[in-house]
Amino acid sequence: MIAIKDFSITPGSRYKDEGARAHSGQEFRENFLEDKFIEAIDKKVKLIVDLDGTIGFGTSFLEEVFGGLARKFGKKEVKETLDFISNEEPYLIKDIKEYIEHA
Amino acid sequence: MLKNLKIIIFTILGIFIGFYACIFFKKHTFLTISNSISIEIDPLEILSLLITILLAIYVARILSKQNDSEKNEKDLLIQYFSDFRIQLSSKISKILEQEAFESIGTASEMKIIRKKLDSIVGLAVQYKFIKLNDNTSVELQSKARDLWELLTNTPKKAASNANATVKDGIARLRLEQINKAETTLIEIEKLLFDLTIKINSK
Repeated sequence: MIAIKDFSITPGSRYKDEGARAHSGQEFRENFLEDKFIEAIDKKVKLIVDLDGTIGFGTSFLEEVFGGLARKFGKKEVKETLDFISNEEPYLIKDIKEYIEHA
Repeated sequence: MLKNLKIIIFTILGIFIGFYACIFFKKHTFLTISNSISIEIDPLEILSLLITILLAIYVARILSKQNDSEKNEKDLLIQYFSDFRIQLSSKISKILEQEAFESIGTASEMKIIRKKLDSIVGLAVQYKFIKLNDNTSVELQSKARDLWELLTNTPKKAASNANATVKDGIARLRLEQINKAETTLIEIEKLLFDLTIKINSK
């Protein structure tokens, strides 16, 4: 399981170059998510992404994280490996699935 | 609907009880039902009076109480929608005025707005004022999502050292996003009005 709040409770914009403390989607994906994602694929287990506990996400952050992951590893792999928890904003799961689908 | 059904059921029940009570009196008691006017006690009239009193008590105490409770729930829900509309309008206007797109503050405000809308729509479904997946509420939530996307995925202002064409292009894109966001806000306000009317007509 990976909780975005452990990366930052104030997730920021899309790219790393948008400020040193941007807490960007690209930074989260490259430095936190991808390793765990590959590990989950190797072990053939689901990786649960916990979306709760932040002050809110921007579209660009979520698209860069999950759409970006789908562009890099393929939609099928991402859809089969990732699962989501979002008690605070359950509708976010549907939004993310669309980003993966349209990546 | 449920209230009307109860009144009908109780009326039919009253008629049946009266009818069978009359037969019971005729068969098993010494009391008779006379065809002529007399000063003797008419058991049918007493029975009818009793049923009328019971019905009056039922309507006054139980149905009125239920009515009041339903009206209070409806008023409260409409008030929630009204407060939400005011809050939404004020927050979005502020974001648009400051052009604070893609900021942490905007993401936070949008989280509150979407969560609040989700919660109020959930209450309307829970208290059976609208159906689950009601068209207006689904469209409303979809528009709120559009607004979130428009406000948190807007191009950054051009850097001061960017050339004029890039600056102009980004400025146009930002203006377009602002315009779309304002249009979406108007559509959300209209949908909120539609939903309020729908709830009020229940």
